[in-house]
Amino acid sequence: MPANDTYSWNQKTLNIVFALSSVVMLLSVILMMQKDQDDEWRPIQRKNFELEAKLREVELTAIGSEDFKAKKADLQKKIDAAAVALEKTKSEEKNAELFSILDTQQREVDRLSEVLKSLNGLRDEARAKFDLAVSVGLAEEATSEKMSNFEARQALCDETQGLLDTANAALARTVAETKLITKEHDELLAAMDKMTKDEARVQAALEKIQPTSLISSMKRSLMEMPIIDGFNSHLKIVQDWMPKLRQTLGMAKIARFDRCRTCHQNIDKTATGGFPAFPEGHPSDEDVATWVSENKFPQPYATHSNTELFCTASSPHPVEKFGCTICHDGQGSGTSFGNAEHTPDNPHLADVWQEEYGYHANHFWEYPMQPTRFAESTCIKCHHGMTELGVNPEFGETAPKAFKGYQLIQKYGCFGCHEIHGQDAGVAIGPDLRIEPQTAEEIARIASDPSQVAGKFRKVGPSLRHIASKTSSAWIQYWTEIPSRYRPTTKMPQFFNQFEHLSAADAAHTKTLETVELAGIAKVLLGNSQPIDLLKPADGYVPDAERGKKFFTERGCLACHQHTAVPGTTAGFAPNISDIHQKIKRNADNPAFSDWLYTWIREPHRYHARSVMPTFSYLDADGVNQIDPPADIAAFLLSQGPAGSFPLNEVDTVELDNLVSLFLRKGRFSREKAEEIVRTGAFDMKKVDVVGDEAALATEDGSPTTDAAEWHNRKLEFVGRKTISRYGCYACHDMPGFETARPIGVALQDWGRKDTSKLGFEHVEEFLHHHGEPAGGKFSSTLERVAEATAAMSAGQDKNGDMTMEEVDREMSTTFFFESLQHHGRPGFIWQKLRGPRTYDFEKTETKGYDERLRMPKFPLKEDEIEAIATFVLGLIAEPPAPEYIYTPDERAKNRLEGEFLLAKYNCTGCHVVGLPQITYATKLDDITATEMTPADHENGLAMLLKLRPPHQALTGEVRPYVIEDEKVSLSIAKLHGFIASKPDPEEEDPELREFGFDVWETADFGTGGDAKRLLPGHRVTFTEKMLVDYQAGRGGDFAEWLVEDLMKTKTGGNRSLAWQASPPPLYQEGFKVQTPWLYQFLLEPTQLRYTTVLRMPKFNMSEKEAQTLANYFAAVDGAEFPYQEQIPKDVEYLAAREADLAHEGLLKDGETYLGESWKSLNGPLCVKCHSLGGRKFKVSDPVKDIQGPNLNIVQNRLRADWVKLWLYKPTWITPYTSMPLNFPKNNLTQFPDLFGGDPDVQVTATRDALLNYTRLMEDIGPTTYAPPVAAPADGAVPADGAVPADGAAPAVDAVPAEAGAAFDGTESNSSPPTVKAELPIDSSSVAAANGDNK
Amino acid sequence: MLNPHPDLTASVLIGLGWYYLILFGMNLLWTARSFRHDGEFRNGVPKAAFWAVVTSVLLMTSAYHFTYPTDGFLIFMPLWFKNFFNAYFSNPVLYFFLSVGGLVFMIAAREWWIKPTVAWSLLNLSLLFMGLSLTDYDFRQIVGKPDNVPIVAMLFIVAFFTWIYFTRAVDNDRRIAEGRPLFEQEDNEKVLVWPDLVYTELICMVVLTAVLIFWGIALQAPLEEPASSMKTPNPSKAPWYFLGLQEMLVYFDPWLAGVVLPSIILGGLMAVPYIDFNKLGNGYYSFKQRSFAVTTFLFGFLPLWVALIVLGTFLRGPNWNFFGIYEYWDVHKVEAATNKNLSQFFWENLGGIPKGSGVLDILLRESPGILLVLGYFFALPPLLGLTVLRTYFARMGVIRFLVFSNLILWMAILPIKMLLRWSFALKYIVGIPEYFFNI
Repeated sequence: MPANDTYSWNQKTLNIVFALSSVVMLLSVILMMQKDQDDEWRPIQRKNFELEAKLREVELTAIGSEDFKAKKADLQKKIDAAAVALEKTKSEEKNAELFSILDTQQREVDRLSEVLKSLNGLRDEARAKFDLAVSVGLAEEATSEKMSNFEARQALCDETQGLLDTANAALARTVAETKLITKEHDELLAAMDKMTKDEARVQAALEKIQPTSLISSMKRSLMEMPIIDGFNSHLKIVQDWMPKLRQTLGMAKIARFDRCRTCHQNIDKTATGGFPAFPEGHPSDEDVATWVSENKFPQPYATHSNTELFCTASSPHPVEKFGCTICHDGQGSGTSFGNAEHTPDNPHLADVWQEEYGYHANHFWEYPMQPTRFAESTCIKCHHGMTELGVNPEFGETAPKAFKGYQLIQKYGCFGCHEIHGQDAGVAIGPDLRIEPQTAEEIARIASDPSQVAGKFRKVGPSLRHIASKTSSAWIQYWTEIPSRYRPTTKMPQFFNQFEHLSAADAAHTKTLETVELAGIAKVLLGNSQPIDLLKPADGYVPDAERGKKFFTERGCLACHQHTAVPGTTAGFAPNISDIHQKIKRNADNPAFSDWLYTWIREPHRYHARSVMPTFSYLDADGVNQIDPPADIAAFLLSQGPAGSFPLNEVDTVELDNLVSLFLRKGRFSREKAEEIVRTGAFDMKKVDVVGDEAALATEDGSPTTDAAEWHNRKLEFVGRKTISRYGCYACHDMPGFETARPIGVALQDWGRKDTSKLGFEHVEEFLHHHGEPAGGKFSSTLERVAEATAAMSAGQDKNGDMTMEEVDREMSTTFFFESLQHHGRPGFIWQKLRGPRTYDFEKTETKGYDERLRMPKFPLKEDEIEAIATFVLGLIAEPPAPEYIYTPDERAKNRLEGEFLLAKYNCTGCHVVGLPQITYATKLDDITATEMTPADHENGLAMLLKLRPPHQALTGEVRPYVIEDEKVSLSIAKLHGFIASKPDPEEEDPELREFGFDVWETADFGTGGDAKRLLPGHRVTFTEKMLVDYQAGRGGDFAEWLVEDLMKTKTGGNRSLAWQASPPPLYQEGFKVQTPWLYQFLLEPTQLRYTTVLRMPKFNMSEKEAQTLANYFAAVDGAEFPYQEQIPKDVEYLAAREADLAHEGLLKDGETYLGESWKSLNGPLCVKCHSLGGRKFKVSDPVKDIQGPNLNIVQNRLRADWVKLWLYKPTWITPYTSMPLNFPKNNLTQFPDLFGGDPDVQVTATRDALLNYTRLMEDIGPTTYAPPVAAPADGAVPADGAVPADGAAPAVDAVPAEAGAAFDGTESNSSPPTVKAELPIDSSSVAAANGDNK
Repeated sequence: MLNPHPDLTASVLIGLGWYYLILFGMNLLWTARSFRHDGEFRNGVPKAAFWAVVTSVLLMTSAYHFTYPTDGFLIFMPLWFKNFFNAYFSNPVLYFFLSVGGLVFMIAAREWWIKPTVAWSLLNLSLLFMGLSLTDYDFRQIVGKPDNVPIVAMLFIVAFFTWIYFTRAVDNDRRIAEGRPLFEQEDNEKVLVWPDLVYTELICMVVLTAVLIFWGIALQAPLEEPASSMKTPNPSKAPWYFLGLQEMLVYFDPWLAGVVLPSIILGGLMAVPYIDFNKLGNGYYSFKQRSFAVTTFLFGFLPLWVALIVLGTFLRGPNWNFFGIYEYWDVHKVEAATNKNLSQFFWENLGGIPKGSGVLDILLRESPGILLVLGYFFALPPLLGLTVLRTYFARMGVIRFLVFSNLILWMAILPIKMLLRWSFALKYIVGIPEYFFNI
């Protein structure tokens, strides 16, 4: 059919449809572009520019004050006047001529410069032509022509240069002349420039962001347009690229791109002083002006909250190098709130976010951002050692929660069942928490394989190898069933009696089965127990419980243990042993005593080879009776009550048979065979042929067991062995027969990335809908608890029922975990696993065998502890970043970190203070009295002090308003380290009299510069309670501090100094004090040092390597010289030089040797008063007052030279509580007048050198008694009696308490120092007396 | 948050409000059409009144959704229905029989359901069912996934085109019966390439582009977890158009389901023009004249292809288990599946042939299955040609008939295997895992 004019469709309609559809398509394209441009980050960047502009404006306002404006106007006026005057001067005739010459000369210089420039060009061209001719090998003729051409041009240049120089010189002369005329004007202009420089800078910055000119602002808007914004617009994605910090996506490891800073633009911006430039906060409205005025900035505009550690260039984790997602996780490439995979910290926040940002959880992204509560878990990626996160000299505790989790896992020994292997084929992948090798074969195997590292953790429970000697079957069963019933504070978890998830019938049945299992365990433990030789006290020794209590109190037991008979201590390192008398097996012939307990106290490692309990050096002689403290302590502990009786449930024989049959069937036996064995007692194999626990059922010769009782026992043993294997008891306890058993739990080293579909949630959600909270508590179910918390949170501050907002905040933790559990997240799983490990068996027990039930025990964990453990475990991902990102400490830091680990392992901090307490208080700077040097103090001593204890700035820079006597004052806030010497009297009511006394142990400066007030160690500061801002207890030494209080009551009559002398010493600056090799020896084999202490350093069960590490630790902490050896004063060259110097100065007479004279000064009538020395034993004249110092023969190996010198200069500068007097006062030249010209300063060094060459001198010279020609020592020994009047020696309480410990007694020193002084053992008279006796 | 899987949330209700608003709009138009065409009931009330009532109910429903009361919302799929549906309709056997039954009904009752009012009512009912089902969390999770949207659309599109076919075919069949000219002959006016064809194509192109852009903006491409060989998604699903093939994997060895059967489908479709000897029905719609061809095609297309895609998309969940449409996709669901090979039946139940590891032993062991398969493909065609399909054989000739009958047999093998699996838990007819050969 031919074409015609009729159309099937109406053309007009078609046109309209076409037009409409085109419009629709245009709209779709516009919408597409709009959507493309509609990034969440653009408005944020715009707002950030707005914020920046606001800041600039504020800055401008600050700069442009009225005063500033006035000054500027004034200056401008002057400039104008000067300009007018200048013009006038210029127009004077002679000056006019001068300026016209200036012009001419300037013109000439300019002209010549131009000419020279072009001549130089020609010259260079000629040189190039010559060079080219040479390089292409032209004939010599041609090259020489080019050479001469060049030379001609060069000559022309030189000539012109000469002309220019002359012209320049002439110009300079004229300029100098004209400068004289324009000087005033120039200077005014310079002043103006300086004045307006800052303003101009800020103005320029502001102009850049908010241009005032129309063109600039149009240009700025243009740059924001689509497509054009691709050309370096100010709105752009900010990207950190970390090619080596790769991330795993599916199967590939790819470089990390973090675009977080696209929105978080100020994250690394700091103000002067390193403070965050935009502190995070919740400003009261959305206006940037408010933010600036309140100095609070919401995210994403705020700076990182910890700029000291993160983001900034000076921090250890600069954002350019680390990016953001390595720590926070999330999707670094995402540029919207959702795509960045932010994770809310609790469900309430999720709701808020959903409203604000359309937030929803994305299950598909494998690494969502860590919620705040788990922020620390990612630290573990690089910090495998963990210790640096908990103890850090520079930054303090940087990841307290993760570190707490780590410590808890160490405490409860989770790694016994759940291996946490930090190595993968020799590469470190995370924290390494593994049990140490248990058998010799294992040790050998690991030693022979270089890619293997042995685990280093001991099993956390006591050894059960010899348990039969310790306790009874009944106690074992009673204890194991519910450990906390016997000892509420125990860390032993509960394996049995967990029925909250079971029906009543099931629980009853389970209980009967568990009774059988418990009996079986006891049977196995006692059956396998190996004999042990128990020690016994000497024949006829009668232990004294009263004395035992004293020993128990004073000898350091309480540093680790608690006991109700001695209340007041808080140690939790070792078990609370108040109840130990109940469980210990007592001697058959003497129920008041237990050889086991005696042996355990005396030699713990005899019973448990790997115990951390140290051995105490006990054998004391009281002069009359040989007393045996372990026996006394044992007697004391046992005297607390009779042996306990522990009720037991009867073993149900039917259930026993059922269990045996069940376990046999799980082995290789058919039901019929298993039942036959149970019925007949015939296990048709010889015991030796049976592999596995079934051996318990077999007899030696394979004959049937006919005796019913024996068969019963065999069955019990079989069940017991199965039970022990099933519950993995050997994970914590050393048990014979289970040395090679493997851990029963899931390995945790990569649990933080465990596929959530592999977690068995079972019916736990259902369980929590109806149960999950302790019976009789506030809530009937966890669901209800969560519902209430959620409601309270949503209701907000005012309406939260009967919960405080703080409680609600805490409850948000529960709601978070509950929500996570509902979504089958790892945090939720681990949370409930630790709250109620067996609850995952809810309604599962019905359909599975008894032996298939869950086995994890319930640990006595608090909710915050569970969160800490979760934080740690979620950080175990076994995906270490590139090696350069892994934290690898240098040698010193390594020593420090390993030492910290040992400090915790052996609880060194139980006794010793290793970090001084810190007080923060408010003070008026005028009120501070600087420590004054007394005439007795040496300048050189002060220099030495400042070297060992460099001044620390006490002022924090903070000033706070206070009201004192109705007057408003601003007080400076200061921080000091030392010990509290006195606390306010609790009965004192006048707040002005409620005073603290604090002894400073450091050198502290108040302010900087020459007029800064300086406190020296030993200075007592007092202030009223109101001024106290903060007190931070020192690190460690709880026992020492407790013992000091106790001794003040019982022994020293309230004298704090003496009590401290009797207690474990603070290990402050121990690295500067002792020689590392000596410390190593001492740790391995502690010897007696002090005679003042009531206890002695015990011997720890540590390896040589550990002793070495710990010795190095102290040197490393204080930054003492590496490798911590001390040689100089023993150096022959040093001694010769010293001798020559002194001879030169005339301080050594002919025939005197330096060491010889030094030996005299040491052996003079000073040191020997308190120390055994030079073959002379210290003699006690008055047992109450006399104080024996340490023997001096050990100084040469023990102490460091500088320290000894300072100690001799002034002991109280080192240890304010010491009894050691100031022996060589500067102002006493008559003490040893014939030694070194009587110069006390030289005598100090000489005495030090004699001490450090002690053995040599004993060998070379032998015992010496030196008596000074004039009997001066009685006056000279103590400054108070010598040069300084007694009243003046101690100006108020602020002064150095020179009189030994007098001023240190906090309770009384304020009121009446003289009376206290009378009680002091070391005052001048007693020293003199002792001295006299010695003679 | 206390219920992590809420059935009704504000956003769901608002979404459904729009859904019912669209239904209202559609029915408003339908009411207008009905008013013009449908006439009146016997009592003089226009039939459109019924639709007016439906339309207004829809409007009120929509409005009710927009108020989204958080508690006590009344319009949702009742729990008893969901439980009933999950309990009784969530197994592949019933599903398959229902889809075959649906096909039979579709053909048998074609004269009824092609009526506009009936078809419209069915469409309305299906949309209502869908709207109500969307109040269920688990249903939404599956149907609402952005990449499942085309499949939902496909269901309606397939239904629409099937309806067009049957409407035209029934019309023509009626015309043939009444001796009237065919619809296509009556309306055979030729049209111009420009503008009737090209112009409309251009408009279609523009509209389609716009629709795709809007679609792309409204439903973002779903981004799932990064690919990993260590962790594959569960369930791992093929692209939706291959889900029919993937369903075959349940019943066949991969080499059959993945290689042989798809090749035969393609080859078979190419062979259709050469096999077809029926000259009738060329260039016009007709059912009666091509009932065998159409039925065979529809059987292959609807129950064996489209229905299996729907099955694979909506009803196969984790571990390839079968889930009801209102059922939570729990990875822990376990379905007992202990199937046996034919040779095992013989060995265990009929004292048949013993096991062995040699080639001959294996052949002997599997001989019943091998014989059965050989018989199926070689003995059945002649048998059919001589009996049931005698006329076909006569009109086609040997080669064409053998090709034809084999294609039919290949098509039949899927339902046959399904039936065998369901009724006898039969795994493979011939099972030689030693050589990776299973049928």
